[in-house]
Amino acid sequence: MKTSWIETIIAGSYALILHIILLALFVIGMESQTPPKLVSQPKVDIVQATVMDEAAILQEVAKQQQLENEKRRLEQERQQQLDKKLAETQQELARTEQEFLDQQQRAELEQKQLELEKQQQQEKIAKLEQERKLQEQKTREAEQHRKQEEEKKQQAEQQRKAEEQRTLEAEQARKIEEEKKQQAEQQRRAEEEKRKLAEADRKAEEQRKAEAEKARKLEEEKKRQAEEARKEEEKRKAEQERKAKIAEADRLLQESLAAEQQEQEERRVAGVVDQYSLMIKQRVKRYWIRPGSAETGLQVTLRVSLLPGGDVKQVTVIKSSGNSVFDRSAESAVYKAAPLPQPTDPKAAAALRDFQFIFKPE
Amino acid sequence: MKLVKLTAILLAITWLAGCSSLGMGKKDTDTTESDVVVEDLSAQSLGVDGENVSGSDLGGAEARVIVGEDAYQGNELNDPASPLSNRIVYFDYDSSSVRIQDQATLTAHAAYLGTHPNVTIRLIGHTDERGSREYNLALGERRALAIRQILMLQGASLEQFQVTSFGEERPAVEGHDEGAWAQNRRVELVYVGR
Amino acid sequence: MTKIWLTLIWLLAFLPWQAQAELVIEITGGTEAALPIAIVPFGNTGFAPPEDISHVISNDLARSGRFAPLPQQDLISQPHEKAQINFQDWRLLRSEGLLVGKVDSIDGETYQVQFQLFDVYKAQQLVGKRYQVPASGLRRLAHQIADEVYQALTGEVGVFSTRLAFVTAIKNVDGTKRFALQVSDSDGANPRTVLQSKQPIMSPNWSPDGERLTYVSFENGNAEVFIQEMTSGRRNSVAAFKGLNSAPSWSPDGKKLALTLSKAGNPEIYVLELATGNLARVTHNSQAIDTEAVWMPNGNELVFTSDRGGRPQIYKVPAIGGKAERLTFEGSYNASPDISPDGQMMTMVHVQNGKFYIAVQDLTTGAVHVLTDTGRDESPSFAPNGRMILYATEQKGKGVLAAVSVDGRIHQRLGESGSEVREPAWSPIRK
Repeated sequence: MKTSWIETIIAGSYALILHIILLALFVIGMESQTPPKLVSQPKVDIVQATVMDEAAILQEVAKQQQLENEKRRLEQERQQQLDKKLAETQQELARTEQEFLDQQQRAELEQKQLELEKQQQQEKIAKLEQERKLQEQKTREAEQHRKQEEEKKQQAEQQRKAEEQRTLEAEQARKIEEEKKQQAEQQRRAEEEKRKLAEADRKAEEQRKAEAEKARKLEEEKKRQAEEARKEEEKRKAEQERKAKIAEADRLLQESLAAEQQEQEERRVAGVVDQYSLMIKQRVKRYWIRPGSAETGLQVTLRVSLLPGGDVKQVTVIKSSGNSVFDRSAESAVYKAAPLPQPTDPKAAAALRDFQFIFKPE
Repeated sequence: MKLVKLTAILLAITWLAGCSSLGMGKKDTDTTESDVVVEDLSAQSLGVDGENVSGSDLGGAEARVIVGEDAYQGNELNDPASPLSNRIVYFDYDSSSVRIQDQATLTAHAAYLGTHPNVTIRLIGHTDERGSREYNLALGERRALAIRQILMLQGASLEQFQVTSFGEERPAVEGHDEGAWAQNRRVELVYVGR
Repeated sequence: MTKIWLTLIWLLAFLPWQAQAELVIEITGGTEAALPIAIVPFGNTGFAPPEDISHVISNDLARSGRFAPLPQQDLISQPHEKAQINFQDWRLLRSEGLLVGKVDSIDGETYQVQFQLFDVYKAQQLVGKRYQVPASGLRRLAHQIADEVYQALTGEVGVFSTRLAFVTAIKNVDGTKRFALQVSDSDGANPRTVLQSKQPIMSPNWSPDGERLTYVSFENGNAEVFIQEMTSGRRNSVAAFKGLNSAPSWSPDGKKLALTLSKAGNPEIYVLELATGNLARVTHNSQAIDTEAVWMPNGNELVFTSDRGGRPQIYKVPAIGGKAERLTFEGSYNASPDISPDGQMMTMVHVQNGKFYIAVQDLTTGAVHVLTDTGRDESPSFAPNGRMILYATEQKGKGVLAAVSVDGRIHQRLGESGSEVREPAWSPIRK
């Protein structure tokens, strides 16, 4: 009870201290990271930023379009050049043909030659045509390729723009996120503080639990060990018993053999003890001068220890008659009767070394 | 005259015998012993003055003896041939009954007392030594009273008697056998002069 | 707690078993012989005192029959105090008690006496005291020391320092007798005559405080009752009526006398109130002898002899009168009752085959036990400790005093005076 009260105080103090630290950290963090005005107008900035960004984007788009137009104009120019070239070639071709035709008129023997020349010319033209066609094909292909490229470029541009848009959005989101993060961070820190506190508590709790657990485990271990020991003991006992049983059986066998002999011996000793008890009784009785008191029903019990010779070592009243004179008469009787008869047989003598006397008048 | 007297005495004895057997034997009831009679006898109890007795000294007190001196009177009493000369009546052990052989003696004494009304006789009862002294004292008195009754029945009158008992205190004969005892169980008749 | 109890119970349960395991020898009976005691002559500083104290003590103890003092020649040493005692020596003599002491003269007239009683086997002092007495008090002191020893070794009150009253009769040369009332020490020694008379004296009886005697005297020719103060010798007659005035007995409170008076024509029991002289008749039996009443210790009843049944027997009656109850049924003659101080026993003269014996009757069971065997015994009187009965008997044809223990085991003779002694009365214990 006391402990928990103290613990409460300590925990409370910890919490308080942690809160103070947390608050301090918070304030410091605020001052170093974010100017106070930012705390009050981040949204406006963000909106402005967004507006500014959009203008930039539009500018960029216009720039891109200009660039695009330039490209197109260049392309057109290049096309026009190509077309001019083609026309020049065709004019060349037509003048050549005219010359060819003028020459045809001039010479008939030359005609054939001329023909051949014409044919060669034609062939040349065809070849040139083919070449032009190939060229055209090539140009077309190039165009196609360019167009494809352009398309690709446009796609890329679009993609880039989308990308840019996305980046912008992402940036915005990031900023919000950042903001959120910061808040979250603060919260998190507070949370963290709390958590840390909780953690501390938890850790203390865990510590306790751990200790309890440890104790429990120790206990369990002990129990286990005890149990083991017990089992071991049981086993040992069982073993012992088993052995004892064997021994007992053995002993019983021995005993049954010795029993009769021992019984006989005991009877003999008992007989000697009886005989000497009677002798002691007779002797003590002869020495007992009991007070002729008017009181009746008195009885005293003495314990007597004898020395080996039968002399009295000690006499103690173990149950008084309540009459000191009567008690004393009994004690004196024992002393006076000494030495008391003692058998030579050591066993019987041992039984008669310490014994009790009950003295009663009747 | 003498004959008439004798007849009267005989009648009296017969009556007494009946009476005594009736009286002595039967009346042993104690039914009347419920009341305590308180008597103021302080004056009487001081009748014997302590100061009369000389002994106020421890051990030196010598009591005075004023009895025992008999005064014999008249020739008739001293006649050895007369039954009147017989002054002792004997009793059986623990008995106060007068024996047959003493009746003639008592008759003679009764006759004498009857004819001498101014003669006083003292009856002293005794017992043998056996038994309780106090009981014997009472027994001696009873014996003396038995004699007095017989004498009164035969003509003596009450005022002529003094009755005393010594119990076993004054034996006639010292001795511890029946011979002595028989002589000690007695009532002495002592004539007191006037 | 429960555990402790369980342990105790277990122990209790175990102990008797253990005790039983031990050999037990039972001693029953035992002898009721006299207790051996060594009484060493008291030491003195060269000046022999007028009384041999240890001798008086030894005689007292021996006479009680309860002690057997060792003969003088058997005393192995003569110690006078504990430091001089070798207990082992006395153990060999098998004496249970050892009494030593010293008498020192202080100024020739005053003596300092000390005694110590030891339990020889335990080497322990049982009792020890020191006194200063005048020479004349030495004998009485010896009796007192005997009482101390008696009490220490028997557990009962000693009566050696009490006194006896009795009547003596001395035959004069002329054949007449001289009677005397005497008071002696409890051993019969030191007799003092308190009254002398030519006429018989009877029935002395002590007042409960031991200061006065009442008795019957014939000094005036008839049985009269007197009271006499012991110290002053002053006496006066308290009953001198016509007829018998006899058998006085002091009530336990000392205020009344029970008497036998025949003033009404027949011996009856009366109670006389001494302060007022008021006389109350107790018995009313005109044909019977009612006499020798004694008080029960409660002071409410009287026990007396009466022949109302034909022969003397003992009866009990309320002291204020009432119906008498017969107490004795054994034998044809029972008389002279006396009641033990505890009211349990009655002693009386009891006749068997014509002989007179002292007997005791247990008042609870009615059992009668004859204590004496001479056949001529009378006047029994209880000792103040209730242990002995003093009575008169005959020895060589002469009256002597004797005492017998209530169990009949111990007999003693008292008073070796030349006179005939009778009617003893044992005084109360001096307070």
